[in-house]
Amino acid sequence: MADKPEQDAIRELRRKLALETAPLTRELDAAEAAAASEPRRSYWRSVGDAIKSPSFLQWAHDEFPQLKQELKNHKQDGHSRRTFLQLMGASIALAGLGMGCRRPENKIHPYNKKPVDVVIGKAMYFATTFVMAGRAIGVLAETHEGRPTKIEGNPRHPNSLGGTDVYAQASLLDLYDPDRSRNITNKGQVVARDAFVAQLNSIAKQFRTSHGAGLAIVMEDYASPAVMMLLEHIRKTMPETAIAQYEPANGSDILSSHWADLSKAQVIVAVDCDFVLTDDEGALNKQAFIAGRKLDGAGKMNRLYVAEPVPTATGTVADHRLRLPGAHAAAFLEDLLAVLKGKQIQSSYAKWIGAVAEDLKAAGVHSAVLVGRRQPPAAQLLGRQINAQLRSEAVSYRGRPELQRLDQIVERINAGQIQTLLLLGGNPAFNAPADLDFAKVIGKVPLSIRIGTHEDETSALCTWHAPAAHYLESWGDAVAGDGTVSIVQPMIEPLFGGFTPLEVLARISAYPKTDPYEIVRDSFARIAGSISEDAWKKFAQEGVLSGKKMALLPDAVDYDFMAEGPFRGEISAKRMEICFALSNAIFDGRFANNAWMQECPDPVTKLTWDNAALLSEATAKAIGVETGDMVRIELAGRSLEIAAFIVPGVADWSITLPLGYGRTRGGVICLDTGVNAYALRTSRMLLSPGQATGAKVTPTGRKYKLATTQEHSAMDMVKYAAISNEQAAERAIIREVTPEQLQNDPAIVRKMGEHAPIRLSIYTEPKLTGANQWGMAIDLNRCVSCNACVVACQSENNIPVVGKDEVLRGREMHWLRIDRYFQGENDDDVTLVPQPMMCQHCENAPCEPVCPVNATVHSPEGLNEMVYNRCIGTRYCSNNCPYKVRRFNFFDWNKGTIRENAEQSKATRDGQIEPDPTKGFSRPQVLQPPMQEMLKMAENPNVTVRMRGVMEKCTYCVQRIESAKIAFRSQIGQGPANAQADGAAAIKLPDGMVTSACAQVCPTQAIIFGDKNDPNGKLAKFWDRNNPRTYEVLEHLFVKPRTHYLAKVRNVNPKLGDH
Amino acid sequence: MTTATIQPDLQRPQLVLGNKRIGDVTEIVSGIVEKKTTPLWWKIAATITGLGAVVVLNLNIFYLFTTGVGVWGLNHPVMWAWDITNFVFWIGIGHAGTLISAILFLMRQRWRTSINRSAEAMTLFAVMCAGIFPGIHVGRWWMAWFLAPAPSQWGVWPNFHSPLLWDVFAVSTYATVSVLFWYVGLIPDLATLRDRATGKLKQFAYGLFALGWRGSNRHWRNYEMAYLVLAGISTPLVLSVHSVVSMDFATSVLPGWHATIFPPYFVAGAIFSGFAMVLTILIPARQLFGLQDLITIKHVDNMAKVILATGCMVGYAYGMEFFTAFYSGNAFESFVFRNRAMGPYAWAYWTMVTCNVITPQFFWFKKIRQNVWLVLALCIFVNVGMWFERFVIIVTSLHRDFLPSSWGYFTPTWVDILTFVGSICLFLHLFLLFIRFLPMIAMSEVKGIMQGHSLMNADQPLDVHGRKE
Repeated sequence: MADKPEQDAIRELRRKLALETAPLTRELDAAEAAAASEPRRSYWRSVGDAIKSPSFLQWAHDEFPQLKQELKNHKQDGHSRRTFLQLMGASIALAGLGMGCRRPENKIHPYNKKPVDVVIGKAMYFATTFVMAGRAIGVLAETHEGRPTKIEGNPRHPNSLGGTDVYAQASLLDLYDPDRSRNITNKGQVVARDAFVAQLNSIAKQFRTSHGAGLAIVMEDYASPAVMMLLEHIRKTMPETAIAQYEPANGSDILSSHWADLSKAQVIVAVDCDFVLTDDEGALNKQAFIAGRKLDGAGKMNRLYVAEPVPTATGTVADHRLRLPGAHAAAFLEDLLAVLKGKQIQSSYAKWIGAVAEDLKAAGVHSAVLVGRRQPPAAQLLGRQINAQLRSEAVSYRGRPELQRLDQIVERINAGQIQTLLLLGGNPAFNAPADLDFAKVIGKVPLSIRIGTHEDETSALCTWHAPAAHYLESWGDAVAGDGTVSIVQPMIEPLFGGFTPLEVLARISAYPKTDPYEIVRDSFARIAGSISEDAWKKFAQEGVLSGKKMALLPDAVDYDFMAEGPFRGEISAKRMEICFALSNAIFDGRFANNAWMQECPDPVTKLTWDNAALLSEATAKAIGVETGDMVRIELAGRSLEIAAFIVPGVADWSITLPLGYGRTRGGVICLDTGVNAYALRTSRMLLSPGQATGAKVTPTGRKYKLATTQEHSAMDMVKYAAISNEQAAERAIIREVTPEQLQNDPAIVRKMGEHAPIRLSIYTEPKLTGANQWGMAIDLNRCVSCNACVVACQSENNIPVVGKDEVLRGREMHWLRIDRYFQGENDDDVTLVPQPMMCQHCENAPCEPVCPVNATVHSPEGLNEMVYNRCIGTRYCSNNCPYKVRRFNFFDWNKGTIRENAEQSKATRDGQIEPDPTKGFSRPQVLQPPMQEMLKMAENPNVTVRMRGVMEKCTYCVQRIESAKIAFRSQIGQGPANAQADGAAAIKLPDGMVTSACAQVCPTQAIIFGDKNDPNGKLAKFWDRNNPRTYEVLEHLFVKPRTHYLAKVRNVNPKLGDH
Repeated sequence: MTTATIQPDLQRPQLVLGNKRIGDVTEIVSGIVEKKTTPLWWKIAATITGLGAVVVLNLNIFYLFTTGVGVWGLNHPVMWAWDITNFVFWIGIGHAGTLISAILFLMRQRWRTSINRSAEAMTLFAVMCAGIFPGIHVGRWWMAWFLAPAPSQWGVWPNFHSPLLWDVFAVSTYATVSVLFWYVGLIPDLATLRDRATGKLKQFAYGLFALGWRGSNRHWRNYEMAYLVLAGISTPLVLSVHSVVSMDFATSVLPGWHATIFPPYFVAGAIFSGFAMVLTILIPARQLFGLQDLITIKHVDNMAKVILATGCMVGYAYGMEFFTAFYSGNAFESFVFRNRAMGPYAWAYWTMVTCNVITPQFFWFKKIRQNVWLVLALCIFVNVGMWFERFVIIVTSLHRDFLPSSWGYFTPTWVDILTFVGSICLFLHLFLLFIRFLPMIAMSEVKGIMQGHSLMNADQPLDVHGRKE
């Protein structure tokens, strides 16, 4: 190995060169690799010398004539084939030659599918951890020839248990985001890496003498023990340093957060707490909660009460849902506590509170009261007191690290005490409370340094900006809410030479090591108490430190924060309240430039590409608006304009604004999407109950087009919703019962809807002769509409994103969609039911006989197959599909992506090009450039990318079935020759060898995929029509779908009526 | 002749008025083609429609071909809209020609002779317009040849279960037979034009297509037999083509499409729309070329009666669809029809009902039937209504089907609209070319039904071409 400074120097040189001659980088890579593997100093040194001179370039031209064209191409479009290779980082060919081109330098260890050697075309899985807003989910990254293509859950990690949430799925696309920051800049000028490193080192020097006085660090919540270790080091060496952690998702972030083990809870009360999606602590919550539904075994079913201002994913699974304005939450909890203590209360929610209290009391220790993070500390403390009163065993609390708050840092900056501000991740200039005016505050600091994945709102204001490494490019570690430690391993060398927080913190604190790998090993040694190589390898391989958990920070409550009263904010038609909610799609705004997430329909509103002011029909009437009308919201001296969107089940006089939209910088996707609701959110609102009230809401008279994937014509939405819900009920698409009903009449589910056909066909149906007969069961009782399956399917099957205009036309491409139905007569008893819907693989598929060219046919294993090569696109199959799950490529989505549109619209706005008159009708595809090379890297190589004019749909992940067959053949020692002799049908895959992407990712196991004929398989008992909850959607058509649904069960409290 | 003994009331009305002699028919009909100066209105109309057919239609198809089906307003529940609406609309238009020339021929309806030529020509042009749409509406038009049962090394054949494939055969058969029928009927008249032609080019061109017709007894015998056979072949086609087209819908599972009433309902609708289109075109032509004596008010009256009869059948079908949906007790069926009448496309549904059910009722009154301008106006309504009928069937059934979650709404784009306008231009342009270069009335047939006195009145004998011997 060459020594460290030499490697650093060569990296630096490469970066310099890359700016002008990116295509040459590969040659240098080879040189570097050679230098790293052998002490051939003279060689790399001469390269190093040469690149400073222009003659080097000339030499390169002469030596590699083919480079000339490449250089030219590069100048023209910025992405030549060679750049692609460069970006790909790990070229397998070079690896084969032992040159290790841009592979991570430190060893990581494949998970349980460790190949003997790299096999091209065979995916490898490595354990790593996805961290978002302090929540860690252990994942396995599927990599193909060194590029990650899919995120799967790590079954060993408690927050995953094999599944992931929707955000972890989408995080893959962020890695390949072409808008990622590529350069280190100082005052907007691109500078070399060594200059930046020198700057960091000089900070270390400068502040060591002042013990950190004048240095402030604002960072996102990495939930990383290694980061904490470095912060300790900073506190030791520079004790005066002001360090704050800021996550808009964590609300006031003053109190410790809860960790709920819902397996111990019989009665759960969630107050403004979306614990299955945006307030998710991890899969454990969901899994335990769902396991407690206890439908398929003995035991009592748990009961969930949800009181919330706007329907959330959690609200959809509630047994009882109360429309509770956010401003009433604290008072509600106070009343609940009072009733539990046996006091009388005066409240409009008295009936509800009474019933809930009774249930909670009966459950005793098996109860849990969860209060959402967006509620002020007072409400959270009340929740904690209720849990204490009930002696709940399910909820525990952990402390937060002893750090300062963002407002304290801002105070210091305003007082002129801070000379250097380091911003690690996050995007406080965009999402800090509005009253802090953080964007202005940054300007008051002489030196501000930003490490961010994108050049966003915050970077624009800082003196320095350096690209941050994506987690799939980083070394790191993470700790889950229960203390489980997991590893963050790089799958790929940083595409743009990004920095990890570890390296930056190490450099400014002059930590003896700067290589993140070394730092993680230090941290690991501290936690595991072992420096053995084997322990480390096991950690890297499994992703999780087994047998040892990190001690959680002690729970420390600061009751001062709840002193401020009153708990109840008064709201009325004249004084509306504003609730701020995390977006179900783009979270706090961090996924705003992620096209998958922008187009991922909100579980409740089905809205894409925008946020809107969510309000009830009564509220809309009071304001005088309809869905799609713009309203002006004035709150505490600040205002914004946003489109109204009527949602059944929203509390009256309460308006919810999803956060994260309305970005102004940070890529082309995030522009022109929604309105920035952070502009209204102030610290007071986060700290005290009822502060976000008194909003004045007036119609502006303007209209705005909102792109929903259900109710495409939003104009008559209320009327429409009424018809559609009535129809859904009449058609028994959704079947819902109570446990008692099911007990009294096991056939009740079957009896719903159109009378079922006599299951006889007048035709002799072709025999399905495959050894496996694939099927799927979807348990509506388990589905929490979290969208993880939607994005997992998109990632697995290379499903294109179409953009807002096309969603407005109803052309979204999701193979798997989650249908949402409202139920209930009026807003007060509205409940929602989600229903994942994808190709049902009907045995009597109506799509098959109508295709004139035999492009959709049935496989012997019961799959309804789509032959893309044969399809000419008559679209008759889609017309004849009762489930409307087929998706048509109206354009060449893969050639002209949404990105070009966005770029064009940005260029138009910037005045670079004239507006395109055809925009608004359809896009000039003829001239569209090919898909960006970087985005191609995110594609699954095992799935065909479809061209325009062909139909596509869910395949039950046929590529996974075939891969499993190949794997199984080699496992049982059956070579290809044998396989051929026996015929493919002879291979019968055992249960559990293959699962679809949606089933695999589902954190609540609502989707089960397998062989329907395998009596011992995991599918059979759910699929079997003798299961009292199993039914087929549109059974009367006798299309014999292979996907069966299981009826939803609401554990209704008789005291509260139907819902 | 014993006409004198028949009382005037019982006498069949004259089919050719104005005491025309045989020669006069030839003069009038050939005169239109032979006239040296082209009328100004023709030039203007041909230029406009020609531009529409060549520029508008082709540019829109080019844009569609290079860009994708997304240039139309189609979306996920509504995968067919104007494309297939136009296809069925044009196919339906064609039916009048075949009916007039085949069925009325076999039924010895002699009044057909003065309108059958132009009605058949209209059939051809309508089928040509219809043929455009299935070809261009597919997603990968360059692969449309997969529809042909062409043997290939893959051993993959088209799917003979698919009604779309039946369409391919039905429409191509229909087009072929229609061309043959029309052309065979033209031969004697082409010979007439050849014989009367003054220029060499005309002589050659008409002569080429007249296939050496000399009007010999044997020629006539073969001709009559061929015509009869072709009429026999065409007759089932009148019923079968639109029945097959209706099966595109009837064989599906979609409520609103899945109905056994569709084949007769579609055939009736096709004849209804076809006759309306014949009148829409012939009334102005008759007026512009002064053919009132050949295409008499009696012809208009008769056709109006056919429109009335088929219009009532169509109205019955509309009612019966509702009854079936109600009587089935099927929630999906009844919703589709409720939605048609009261849903977001109610405007289209009521346009259709007004035009197709109410409009023809005016034809109960003889006064209205005999007022050509009123008839023309009503026929235009019927044309509009019949386009809407197809639109209603296709789009309203698709846009809200089984699962409310996937409901949508279709709005056409300018490409949808201009492509349809282009096809109308093509139709009209072809018709304009036809009336300028070919005899728009079957001279030989008209002569055959002329009353005896027309011949007797001649001062001196004329040959069959109306020339003095």
